[in-house]
Amino acid sequence: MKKNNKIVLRILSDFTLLVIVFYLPWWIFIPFTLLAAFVFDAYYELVLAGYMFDSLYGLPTRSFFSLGMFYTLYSALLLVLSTYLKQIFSFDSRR
Amino acid sequence: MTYLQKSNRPRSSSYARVLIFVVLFFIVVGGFRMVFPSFFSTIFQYIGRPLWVTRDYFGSDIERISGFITSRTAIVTENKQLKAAAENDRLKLLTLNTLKDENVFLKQQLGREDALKNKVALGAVLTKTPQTFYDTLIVDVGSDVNIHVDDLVLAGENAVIGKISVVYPHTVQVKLFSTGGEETQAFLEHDNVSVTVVGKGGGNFEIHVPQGVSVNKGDTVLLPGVLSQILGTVMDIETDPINSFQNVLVKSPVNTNQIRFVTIEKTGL
Repeated sequence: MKKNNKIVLRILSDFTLLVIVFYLPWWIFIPFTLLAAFVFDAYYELVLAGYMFDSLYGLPTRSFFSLGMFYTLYSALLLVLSTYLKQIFSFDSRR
Repeated sequence: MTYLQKSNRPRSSSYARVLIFVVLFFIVVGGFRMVFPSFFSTIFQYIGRPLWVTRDYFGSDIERISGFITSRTAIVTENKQLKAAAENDRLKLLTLNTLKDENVFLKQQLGREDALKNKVALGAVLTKTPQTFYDTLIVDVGSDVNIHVDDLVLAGENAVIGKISVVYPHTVQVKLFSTGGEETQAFLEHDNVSVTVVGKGGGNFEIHVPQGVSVNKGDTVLLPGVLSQILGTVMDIETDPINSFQNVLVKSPVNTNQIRFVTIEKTGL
């Protein structure tokens, strides 16, 4: 994929993330980010969107160890894990 | 022929960069949150409020347009069903109004007028489940109308659904009583047994009561107080002969997925 196309796709993906955070049901965030994390390199926006989600709706509840940061933790973990997996399974020596 | 000289500097792997970013993110955001706990939340609420208001504005227009393409037969059938339901409700309401008047009169006679004079604020719900994962609502009133943390939130006249959790300048976050793990003190109307109601998410609750306590399906669970505010109704009772407790499943009378307006009982000054 050309670099310019990839940037346009990434911007569109960022916009979709914002729409998900503000408008769509919470569970759509999970499959979308699972896909995006593996499509884009070092998708940092993921963690920011997760944090935005938690800041808007999150509450410290007993169900999540009184953290209220489920999405931030999930996004950070997904970002780290996807980058690690991509590095392991990539044949590109520059990574 | 000239070749580009290879750099001897080792390239940092993207994995290491990502790891450093994540660690730094948590340090910076965590530190910032300790000093200014609701800084980012307030900013995001400022951004979100006009977006949600616009969505609700256009959402009602879309609903109106979709009404034109509904089949005529379906409308007639629905109309008949609604008329029957409305007539049934009207008859129930007649009894209810009489009882309500009687209740008010008794409270006045017994010197509890204070319970009838709670100040309330009406709020439109901006976000609700399933948009939010945490069983929370965001309502379009805030500290500008003198709302405080722990103020009670009601749907309709008498069904309590939650408490104010965070107050922003123009919005509030409501923590529903049904939030997973949330414990609320209440009592079963049938036998006036005090119970601890535990939230299970999505308007559902669970109560553990000893086997000897009489509980029936349809019993009302009320919040303590003279106003008899309804928290939910008993939907099912699970009993196990080897267990000394029975598991009572309670459902809120309000479907928070469809709620549009709430009233907030202002307990503060």
